[in-house]
Amino acid sequence: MLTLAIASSVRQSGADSPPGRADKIEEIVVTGTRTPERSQRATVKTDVVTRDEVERRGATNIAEALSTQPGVRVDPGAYGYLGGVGAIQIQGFDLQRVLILEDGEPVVGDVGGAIDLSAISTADVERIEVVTGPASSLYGSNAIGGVVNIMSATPRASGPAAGARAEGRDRHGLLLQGHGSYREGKTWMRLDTDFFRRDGVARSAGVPDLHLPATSRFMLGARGGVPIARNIDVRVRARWSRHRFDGLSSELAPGLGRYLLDEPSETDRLAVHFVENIAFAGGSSLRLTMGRQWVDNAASSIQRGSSVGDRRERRQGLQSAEAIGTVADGGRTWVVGSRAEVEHIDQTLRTTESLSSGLTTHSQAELVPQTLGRAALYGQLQWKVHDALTILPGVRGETNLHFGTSVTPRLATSYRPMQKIQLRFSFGSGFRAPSAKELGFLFDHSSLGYRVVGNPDLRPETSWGANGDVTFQPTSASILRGGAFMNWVRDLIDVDLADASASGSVVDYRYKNFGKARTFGVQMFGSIRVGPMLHTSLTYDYLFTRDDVAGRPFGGRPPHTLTASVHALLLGGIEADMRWRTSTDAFVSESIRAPGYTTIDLRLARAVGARSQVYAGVLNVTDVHQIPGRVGDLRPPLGRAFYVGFRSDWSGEEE
Amino acid sequence: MMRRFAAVTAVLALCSFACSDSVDSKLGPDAAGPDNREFDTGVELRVPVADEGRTFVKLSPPSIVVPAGDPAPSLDWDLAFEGFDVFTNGGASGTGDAAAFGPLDAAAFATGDTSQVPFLQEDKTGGAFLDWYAYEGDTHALFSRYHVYGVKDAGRLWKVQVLGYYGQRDGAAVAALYSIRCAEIGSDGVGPTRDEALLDGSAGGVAASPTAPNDCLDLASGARAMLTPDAARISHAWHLCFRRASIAVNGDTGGPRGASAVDLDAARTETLATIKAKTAETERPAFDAVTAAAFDGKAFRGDRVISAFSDLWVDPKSGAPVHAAWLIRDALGRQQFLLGFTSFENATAKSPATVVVRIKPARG
Repeated sequence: MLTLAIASSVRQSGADSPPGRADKIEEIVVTGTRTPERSQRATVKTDVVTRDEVERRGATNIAEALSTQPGVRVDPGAYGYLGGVGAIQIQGFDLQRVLILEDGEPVVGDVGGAIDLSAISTADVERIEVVTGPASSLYGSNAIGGVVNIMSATPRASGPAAGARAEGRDRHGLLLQGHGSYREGKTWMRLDTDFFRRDGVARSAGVPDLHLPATSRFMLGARGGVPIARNIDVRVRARWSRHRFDGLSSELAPGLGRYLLDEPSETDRLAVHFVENIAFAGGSSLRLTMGRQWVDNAASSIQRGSSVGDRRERRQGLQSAEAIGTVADGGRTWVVGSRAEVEHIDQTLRTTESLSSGLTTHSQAELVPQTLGRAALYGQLQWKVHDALTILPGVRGETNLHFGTSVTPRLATSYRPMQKIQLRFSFGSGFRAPSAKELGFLFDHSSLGYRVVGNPDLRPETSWGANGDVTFQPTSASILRGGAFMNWVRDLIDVDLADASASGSVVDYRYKNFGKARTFGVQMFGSIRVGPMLHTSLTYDYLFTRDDVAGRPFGGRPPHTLTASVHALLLGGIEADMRWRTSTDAFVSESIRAPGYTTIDLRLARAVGARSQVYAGVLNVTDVHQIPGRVGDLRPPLGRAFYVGFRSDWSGEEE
Repeated sequence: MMRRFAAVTAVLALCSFACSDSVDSKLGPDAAGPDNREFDTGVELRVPVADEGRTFVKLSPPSIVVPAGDPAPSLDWDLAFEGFDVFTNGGASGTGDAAAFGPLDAAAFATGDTSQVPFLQEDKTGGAFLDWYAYEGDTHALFSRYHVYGVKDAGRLWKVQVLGYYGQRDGAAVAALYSIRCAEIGSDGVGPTRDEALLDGSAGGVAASPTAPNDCLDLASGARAMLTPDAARISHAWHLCFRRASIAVNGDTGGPRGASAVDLDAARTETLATIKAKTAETERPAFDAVTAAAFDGKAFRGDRVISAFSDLWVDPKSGAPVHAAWLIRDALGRQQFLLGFTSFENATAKSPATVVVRIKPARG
């Protein structure tokens, strides 16, 4: 990502920016330290994907926006028939070991432990910040591998503004995005909407099954800000989205023929967020937030023409309140915060069977209703010892109603021995609290002879991680960076198949803390800008993982990844973008390796007038894709995809 | 649901077909040429198995044991060897919680990885109909092999062919709704062929209790009765009981009627593809061709105790143990172990004489 942050996108671009415009203002990031810093000089390495860059990558959702991000891996095919779930990996960790935030608020509603990044639209996104390495000292649970913070846009122009984007894609894909906003002084409001749909992808010839389900997504968002006093302003954000998969599979009933199973899955999300900012003299501030999220999911598998099948309903909610004080004290900036959260989740499985007595429906609680509460205090000092040296110690203590207290410290430093060289190092702790599922799950397959049950006695997973890098910036147009990380994790939670307990003919498998693992990686990055015409970058990532209990690597982690990008301004005002990513083959199990692959994305765009742009592109030019049914296949589930679109933004005078 | 039900009932088949689509693969992986490289860890135990009687084994620590008193209610043993049978202390064999799964790839013994094991199987009763189906792992579907069986009771003889495991009800394909064809074979020839459809072996469905009733059929009268397993065990009102993927015969351990059965096609080996190509229509001539003469010299027997090892752990061609691993839960239900049989020493026609086995705790 630094790729573009330096090479091409050193800009502050909002959705209201005219297409293609590139203000030469360096990105400001906040996620790594909770204080605004210039991205290239941030004390904690924070990569940024700007909105323009999101569009240049041909992305319609966050999973696509990050799919070729160096140091990050998005596995969109990790969850079987759902197909579209974008499980993100950072530093070898995935699922609940990577924290996903929207405007600083944790996103709930996982599928199999993964927040589905493909369900999050890019419509109202201004930038995505990616912090690699443990960040639990600021964010608490789940921030072991890193943090992804999806930041929404605020209108920068006074008066009314509006924008629209329409795009057609392969497989009857259609993307429609629009926004309208109004700003007067510090008072503003903005409405966003997004619609996307795409046909499913057939599994193989001869059967009606879909490898990827048909997908549709709809989002409505409303945000606003108003000053209620000279130094106090209030912001409110509400966002509703519906994400639907329509899967189709079939089962062969020997002697009867093939029966179709409709497999719809629909998720409704509603998030409401309230923020009050109080500014004090000297740059100090107090930020008070309250948030609430509701996530309802219903997934079914029903034999077509009957009501026989399963329906799984899951409800999840999160309420939060947080206060963050920032005290500027000369070269020292203190951040002190407290946060309280209450999370609720329950899951029910309803099964309808045909029995001799007729159709029978029975329900069971797969997830005993869980209410999880936690409260945290955290503090951090950003001490600019002198112009070249910044030291950043921080610590967070979190009390969880289930397992007690976790304390996670971090120490980060940034040193610039000379103007062109920056050294950064951080060492910190991370943890992941047991999820509601791991605490209270009941996956009852007694009829198959087993159950998977939760364990209320679980402890949190804990980690230590070290990150360091050296940046050399010989000119303002070029940059070289080399970095490395290492993580040690213990008490990993998983189902222990070797330690089951039996009751009659039914075996219970429980979640337990028994895992131990290490990850290590290296990243080499270089970027150069040749005048205004050409920006290019190259990143190499090496990843080593080791499951110290099983004595083998984690599955699905390619050790070597090479990412290249080129952004060029061609004749006729045409902008051209190319992204290339090559991943080597990867361990899946002792007898299975995932094949390596290369993807290439191309895009051409041209301004139409001052406010509009037409563009066309092709994702995955080489058409590399998964083989349905192949275990552990990491290649993209979708093959080559063409798209063509138009976007237009209209705004008043920018402030 | 259909898949799930099929999976329930396909434990034995999972063992048989996990690694190949060949029906012969019930012999287990790599039956021909074991080099036992995978079995160089764990504890080696040499189990003497006499031609008569049982030898009992405790898994932790691996040892030969002699249970005090009646072995049946004892938890002092986990495995019992009897001739070329291996039983576990659970289900139909004992009061413990022991159960097993296999054959697994021998590499599972070396790596300790048992994540591929879906669940463990307790010992249960079964007999002539044990291998009535072939299981396709990819689809979890059960395909009838269309073997022709003989069922004998009180001087009367029937031939039976299983036509399918699935029936349509309430607009859906439902597993464990059997259809069969049968005909009585008398001294004056073969009687009319009768089809019996929708024999309900669903046993109350996925969430039913183990005591849910299932259909049992009297071949003579065609009468059906829904009986619980306990009721069937003391009932004379049936010849064949259909429960999930199992077809029981009312004799020996199956019930009190004294019926017995034989699989005329037990020696037939076919690929799964061959079996899948068969239909009730294509196999009708084979059924029609069976007369009384086909049963001459055949050994009819009632049901017996079947474990995860039955008919799977010995290579019938070489007489050696198959080169595979087995996952076993102990009688106390607390710990799982991996087993790998490395050799038989001085085997006779009645027993392996000495079974050399490697044992180690399993890790998921």
